[in-house]
Amino acid sequence: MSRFSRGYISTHDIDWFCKINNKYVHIGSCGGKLPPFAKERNILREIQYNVDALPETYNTEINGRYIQALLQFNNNSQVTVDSFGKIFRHWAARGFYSFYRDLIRHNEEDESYSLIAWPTNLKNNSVEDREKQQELWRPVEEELSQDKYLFNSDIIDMNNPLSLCHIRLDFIMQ
Amino acid sequence: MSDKLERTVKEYRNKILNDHQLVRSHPYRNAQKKPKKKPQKGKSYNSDYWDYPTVVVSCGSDNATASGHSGEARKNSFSKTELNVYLKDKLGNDLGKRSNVKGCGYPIGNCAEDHAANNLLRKNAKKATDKNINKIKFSKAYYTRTGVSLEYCDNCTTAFNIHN
Repeated sequence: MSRFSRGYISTHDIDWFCKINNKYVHIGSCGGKLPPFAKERNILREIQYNVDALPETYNTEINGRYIQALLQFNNNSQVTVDSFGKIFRHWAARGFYSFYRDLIRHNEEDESYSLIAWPTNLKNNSVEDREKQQELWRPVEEELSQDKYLFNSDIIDMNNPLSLCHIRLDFIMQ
Repeated sequence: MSDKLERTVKEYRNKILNDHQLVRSHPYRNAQKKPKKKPQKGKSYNSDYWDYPTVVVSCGSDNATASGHSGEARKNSFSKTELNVYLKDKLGNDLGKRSNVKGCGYPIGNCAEDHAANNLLRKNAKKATDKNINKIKFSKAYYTRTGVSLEYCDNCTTAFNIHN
């Protein structure tokens, strides 16, 4: 089974997934390091495809203050808070807390991540829709309920999403 | 030139985003085996199209422009323009290894700037010499997924005639 090389990991923005404190989490690596379970190419591709195929079942929120600070720091007028947030709402609408590598203090050694978007409450869907959703969720749930994807941390409070900035995920996963 | 380069890098970034979107929505994407039929133009079965390259940049000289994105340096591509020799001379090590530049941990040749410069030199059928490299102007570098700009790394400011 092929694994991503170190060069590939450092030059690509890879979507990987896990569960932290029993919440589904998406992480955009932006050239950051990957934990061992995310380096298996074929397994990761299957999860990526399955998660991407999930329907948008959640209303979402974004950390506008963090994005605003980021854009000001980079003095960048081409990107807006909404266009930045939209990229990560994609994952939040599927039920995932979406983290992205910290671009404010970005350098190759910095492995901190910030929460950009998160799901709030379920949208009103019909019973039929819910049954379809459950079917699509099954392979994702089965894969991500394995021990290697499960992490617990006292420093991460998923109930207080705005506090989840500059988190060293590599420490949590040790 | 700088306006033209900014337009070029914007178009290039949009093209990458669109190409990746095509792969993500491709009906065969979940197939265990690649179908025998060749993909249509603009579509690819390469699963590595899922991941965006981290950074994109454009560059230009002699009225020509080229773009590139971060990725592992390929010696057979870089040796056509002798950019591998030029980078070794400036940064003190081979492609894919750490440079002698203090504080820069990025492997030599993996930056978007290296790939863009290599593409430009190939387009202009030129070799990587001090004279040719110094003529090259770069756009700002951007993160592909978000479009946020970033500073050039120390390897790139040392190897090319650019500064933050």
